[in-house]
Amino acid sequence: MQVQFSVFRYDPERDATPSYQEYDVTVEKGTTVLRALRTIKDEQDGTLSFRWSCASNICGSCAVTINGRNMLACKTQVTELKGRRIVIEPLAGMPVIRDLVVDWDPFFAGLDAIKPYQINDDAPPEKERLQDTEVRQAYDDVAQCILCGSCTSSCPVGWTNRHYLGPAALAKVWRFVADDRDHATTERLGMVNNEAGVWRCRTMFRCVDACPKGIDTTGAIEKLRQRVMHRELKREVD
Amino acid sequence: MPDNRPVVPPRHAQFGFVYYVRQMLRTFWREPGTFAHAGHRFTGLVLVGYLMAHLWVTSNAAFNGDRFDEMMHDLHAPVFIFMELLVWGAVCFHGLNGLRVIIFDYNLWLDRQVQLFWVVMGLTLLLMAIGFYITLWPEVAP
Repeated sequence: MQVQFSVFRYDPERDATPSYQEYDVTVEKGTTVLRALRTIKDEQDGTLSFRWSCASNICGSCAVTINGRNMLACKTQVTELKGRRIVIEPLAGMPVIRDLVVDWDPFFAGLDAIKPYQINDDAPPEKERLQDTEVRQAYDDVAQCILCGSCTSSCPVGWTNRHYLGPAALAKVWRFVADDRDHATTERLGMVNNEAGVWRCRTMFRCVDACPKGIDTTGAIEKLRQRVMHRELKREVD
Repeated sequence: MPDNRPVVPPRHAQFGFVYYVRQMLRTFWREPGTFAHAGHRFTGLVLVGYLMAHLWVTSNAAFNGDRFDEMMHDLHAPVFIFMELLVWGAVCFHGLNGLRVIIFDYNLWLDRQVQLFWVVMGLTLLLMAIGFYITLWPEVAP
């Protein structure tokens, strides 16, 4: 089956404005968008730039906007998409470096800001810090995040507000708040109790729709909101 | 060290208010959550506009009674009655969707947001239909 790919092209050293270039690619059942992009690069236009690595839905490098939705190019099969014309654009809300390659620094700056690691000042145990299965299950889904940026990029709040932490960083905060081995809950709740944190979420569920791992990011943000509220109310009462 | 990496100039970048509006217009109908958000914003603006118009019209009652009577007569034209019904629809959607969002804030039915969206749409249409009925046949109004 012949499919037309309309790909976002921009080379800041050559182009004054971005444009869309059309490529015709023959696909069959099972052909992924990543495979099609690689075919374009290998056979039609070697100047096309895009990121990819594992090609198996694990590394998150190949996240792009396909027909207006953020998806992993390696996970999305061309035949599953509607229409014979597929528009491929870089992730929204991120500065474009070239073609489909975006600058991830703002995304990782937001992630760094929330200290995405376990904070526990207790003396390390002899073997490991054990955890109950039930506690682990509370953050089971958010622990699967592959940091592909699909959720944060799909959130319209981040398109207009560059200070917003975004769903990926906020879900990561919930991952550590729900983890009883982490002892920085108060600090973490303070980090997100502001306009750039949980209160900026508009409950659109776009992050949930975009997540290739099916993580309930909006749910994580709502749970964080509730924890922040309880903490603030408790502080008022005390 | 200076950061010399080339990036798309701001006017071509995929963010900013213009990008937000353009992208929302392009995609708002695809996902119920996005539609609900866009609808909530739009109906909110409609209600603010209605409030302004309402204050302007009623303020005439205090300063110019004759003018107010004239305006009230004009506002009984079918086109204004139809617009009033649309405002009623905006009130219903805005209020019901607000309740939907509050439900999520209580951590309830987060996995049923799509179904709740359709409940909101259904109730909005039902209330609009009742509004139409009462307006067209005022004698049935309680």
